[in-house]
Amino acid sequence: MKKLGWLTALLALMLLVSACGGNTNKSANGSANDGTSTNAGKTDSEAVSEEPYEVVYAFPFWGSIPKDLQLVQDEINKISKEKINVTVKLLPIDGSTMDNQINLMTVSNEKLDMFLMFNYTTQVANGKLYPIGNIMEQNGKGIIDALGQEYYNSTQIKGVSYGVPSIRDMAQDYGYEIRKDLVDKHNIDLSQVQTFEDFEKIFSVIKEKEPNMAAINPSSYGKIDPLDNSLGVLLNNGQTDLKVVNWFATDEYAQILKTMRKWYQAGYVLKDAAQNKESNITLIKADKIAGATSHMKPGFEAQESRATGKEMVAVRVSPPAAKTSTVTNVMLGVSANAEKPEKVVQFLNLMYTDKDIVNLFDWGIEGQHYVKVQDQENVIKYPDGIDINNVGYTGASWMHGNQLLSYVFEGEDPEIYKKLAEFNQTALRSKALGFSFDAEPVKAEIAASTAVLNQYTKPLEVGVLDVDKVLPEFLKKLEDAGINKIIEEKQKQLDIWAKENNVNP
Amino acid sequence: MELLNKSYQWIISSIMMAISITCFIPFVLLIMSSVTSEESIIQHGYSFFPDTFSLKAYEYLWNHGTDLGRAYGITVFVTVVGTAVSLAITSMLAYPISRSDMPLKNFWAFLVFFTLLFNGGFVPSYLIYTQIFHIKNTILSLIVPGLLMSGFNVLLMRTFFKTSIPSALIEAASIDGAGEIKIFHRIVMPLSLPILVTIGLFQTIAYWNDWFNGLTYMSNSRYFSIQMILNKMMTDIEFLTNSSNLAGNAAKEIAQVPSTSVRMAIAVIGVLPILIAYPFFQKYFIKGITIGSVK
Amino acid sequence: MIVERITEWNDTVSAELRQAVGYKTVKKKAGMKKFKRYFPLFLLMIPGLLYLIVNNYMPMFGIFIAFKNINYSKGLLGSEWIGLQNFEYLFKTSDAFIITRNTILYNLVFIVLGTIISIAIALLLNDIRNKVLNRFYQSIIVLPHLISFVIVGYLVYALLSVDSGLLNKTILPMFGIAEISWYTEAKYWPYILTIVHMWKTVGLSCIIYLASIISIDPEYYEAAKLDGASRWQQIRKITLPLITPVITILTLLAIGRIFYADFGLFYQVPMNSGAVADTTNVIDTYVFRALMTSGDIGMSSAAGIYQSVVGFVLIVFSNYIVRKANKENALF
Repeated sequence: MKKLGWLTALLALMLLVSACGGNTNKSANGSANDGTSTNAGKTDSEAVSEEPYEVVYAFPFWGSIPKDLQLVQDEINKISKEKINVTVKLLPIDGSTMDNQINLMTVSNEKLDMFLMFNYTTQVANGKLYPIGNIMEQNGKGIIDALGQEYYNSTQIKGVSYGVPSIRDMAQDYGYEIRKDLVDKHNIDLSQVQTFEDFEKIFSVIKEKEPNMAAINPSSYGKIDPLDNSLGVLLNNGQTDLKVVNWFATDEYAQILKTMRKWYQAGYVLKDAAQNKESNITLIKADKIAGATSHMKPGFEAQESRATGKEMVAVRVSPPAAKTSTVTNVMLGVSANAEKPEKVVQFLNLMYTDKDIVNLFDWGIEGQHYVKVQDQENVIKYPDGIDINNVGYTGASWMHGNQLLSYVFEGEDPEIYKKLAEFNQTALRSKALGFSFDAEPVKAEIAASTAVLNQYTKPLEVGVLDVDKVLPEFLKKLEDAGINKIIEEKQKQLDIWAKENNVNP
Repeated sequence: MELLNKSYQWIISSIMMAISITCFIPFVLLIMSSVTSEESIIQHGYSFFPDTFSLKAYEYLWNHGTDLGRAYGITVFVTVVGTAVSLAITSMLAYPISRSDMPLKNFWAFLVFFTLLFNGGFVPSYLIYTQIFHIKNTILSLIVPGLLMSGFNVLLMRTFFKTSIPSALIEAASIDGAGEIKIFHRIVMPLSLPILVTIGLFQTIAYWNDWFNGLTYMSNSRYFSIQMILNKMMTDIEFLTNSSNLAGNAAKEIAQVPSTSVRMAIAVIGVLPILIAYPFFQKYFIKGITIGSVK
Repeated sequence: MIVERITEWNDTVSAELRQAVGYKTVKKKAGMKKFKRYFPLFLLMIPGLLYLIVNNYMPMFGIFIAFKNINYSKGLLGSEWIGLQNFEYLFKTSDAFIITRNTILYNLVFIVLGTIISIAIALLLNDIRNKVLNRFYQSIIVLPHLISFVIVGYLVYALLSVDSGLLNKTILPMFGIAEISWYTEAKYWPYILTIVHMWKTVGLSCIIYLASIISIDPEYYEAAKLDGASRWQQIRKITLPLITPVITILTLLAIGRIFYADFGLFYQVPMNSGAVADTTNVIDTYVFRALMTSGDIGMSSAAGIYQSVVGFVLIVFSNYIVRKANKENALF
């Protein structure tokens, strides 16, 4: 009898477990069905014969998911269903696990049509993307027009494009941002700064006048085209020739490191820069640093001023230059598993051409999440009683398609997107713009060299290590890991690419 | 003798006190930094005696109360259910293979042990759990994968059964006509309270601290537990500050990630419940001793 | 009652005898009877075995991923076989020796020190008579285990930061020592990591030992006291021998994982400082740094297999030794 009791208990437990699983599953399916059936109902009334295609769009988010996401999605669907008979399902994925989730979803054939990525070439190599280049002319003409042929072409890998960059800053410059009040107070003349070395003129003043503040939280500097991974690069932003060199072994690199080392020893640099886990914004807010070096774009100062709550100014020492990596570092692509890639590209096309859709993605619903400022077409602000902390929706305009169609928030330069477009137009082009490196033949070498880079570059580039002692060691390890083989392979691929695309070295 | 005993008690107690302090002090630092203002932490570092006291971090948590309340609920549910089921199946597997007369006992033990060394990685696990068992986005996905039973615990429990349950006792019960299941249930289990409590504690901690399952099997952050929320904040800030490519763009996103003191505050509220629950475990621990001694 | 005590004593002292008894009973019964007798025990095992199959054995098919060049559009099964290519990067680095040395040495130190300290604390805890204090100590020593390594990294940073660290700003100046740049000096890290590891893990493993010490029959001690044995003698002659099986099993299991390193400890605690890699680089951190950008699952599972195989060889070997010494204490 006792035995029976145990057995039944066990059985009951197992049943319960399986029943729970079954139930939730069913209810999930059920609600999904409900969703499509209501959708179907709507289309009937609009007399569209075909069932609308649902595009599942995954993109990363940080912080928390906006609470009105569903409302915004519904608004987007109203437009997209009417125009191309497509609905979208927004799938925000936690930014840090994005890659993983996309891998898992692809490998298990879960429904996923389109996703945003920061590692385009890897995704292409892994076969996760559909070659949209073949269907772009028919379905995504608007995207090519918005991007411009040149930038669009730079996404091609072996002649086919697998994704399109979101329209934002396609080129990068490099400079130093600093609090304006400090510049004024100590009469610092920013115009005297022309080169990287000239920063010292600012730093020494800060060091002397503001002893409690570090002058700089450094970030990596170098006028190079990294050709995807910095293992084998073109010098001078790819302006001179197509000769692939080992950047870390150049005199230029050694010189930068020595300068940084000098600055570190002089006390200009944030002491714990190599361990720092706070953003520049947080550091500036807390008066820990006076400024920081980083890549910049038009409107960078305004954006930083808003984020730090202190007025910021910037001085640039490197001209904006477009390279394959600056174009492809934020890409939208169609999943290899997508059922109807044409439909997905058509929706993507709306994200580059339809102002209403772009602004729904970027700012939410008019009247609810923003209102237009009187007499100004493109400037918006929060409705009364709403601020950044309680607004029901915020979106990242640099991710979702064409930022140039986005409204400008009150207080920012209303002309900002015109300037951005011009910035993209006029930026220097690396000779290798459009070349993507196929890492497959040297995968092991890349992994081993990447490990070396991750170990050495940070402490060397902020100046905490003795350059004379550590740099040779670093170079030795890179060689052992096979960097020369990577460079050789890269040069070979680059030469072939140059011949095919008629690029003169 | 009595005096010696007393001074002996004093000595070991003060050694333990010293050890406890080293364990506790960092936690104090954690609490203090959660009530220090963000600016002060960055300007002067973490301190036991913050110069500016601020409850902003907890205010922030309070304002995001619904998320956290739900996260707490999920954490507690998963921990309680997971630990209970886990204890049941762990002891049910460990007991038979602990019996020296069990047929094939070494084979079973090896079967358990082998899982500790080799695994297929999380992609195959994911495929099996989502394609065959369909547990994605269900509460089961927080309980079952990877955590429900660990080979380590099974082998530990088996060793305990082997050494602490006299087989003569089992023989005797068997001769008295008790069936195997009755013996397990009535004799073995009560005698094993200390190890059950220990394994129970391990499982509780494992469930409480887990974030991996959530990040793998939950695509909807509505069902995040406390540790997932904390882990997400940590990785978010790391990702955003490290991707220099995004630096020009991600200012708005960085601003959304809670400050250091909030992260510390979440770490504090993530640990407190276990600290509070722990004495309950110990009650059984003590009970285990008394039962053990009257056997 | 007395008879029971005696058999019990017999039991714990002589394992051979116990086994002999077990053997006889098994032999006496014929096949059908044997099945009937052990059937309930098999039933008990079913849920656990099922779970092992689903959670551990079924996913093991994934081991083949390490030998493939995974292309998602072709699927896991359709991707091409590339032999051992995924393993190459593990040996491409000139640091392979340092990484292997660090991984194994740290683990050895952790096993030896960890066992000694945990048992010592468990013995102390067992002797504390004041119940309230006892409970208090027990709770507190588990506390470090509850704090995630990322947070531990922050706390260690609070101590060691050049700029604002407690050691550099408060404690070292008291002794007149100049500030030390902890995150760039490799020589300090073996000590720092060992201390942090002990601090974080000793609490839990000490609870395991405590559980088995508690389960020792008090009558052994009473008998020993009557014979005038000192506390130290009791520990040596009664406690330690009786918890030897637990020590053995924990050590064996730790040896099986000797080629794995706690990623959090070696990556988060030194805050990924490349400057101290000589003493902090272990196999797990190397794999992470190498694959961080590509996220190649083939190469990462190759690393996993490498670690498992080394662990497997070591553990089969040590199990063999344990088996020779005492059959009952062996793992399998």
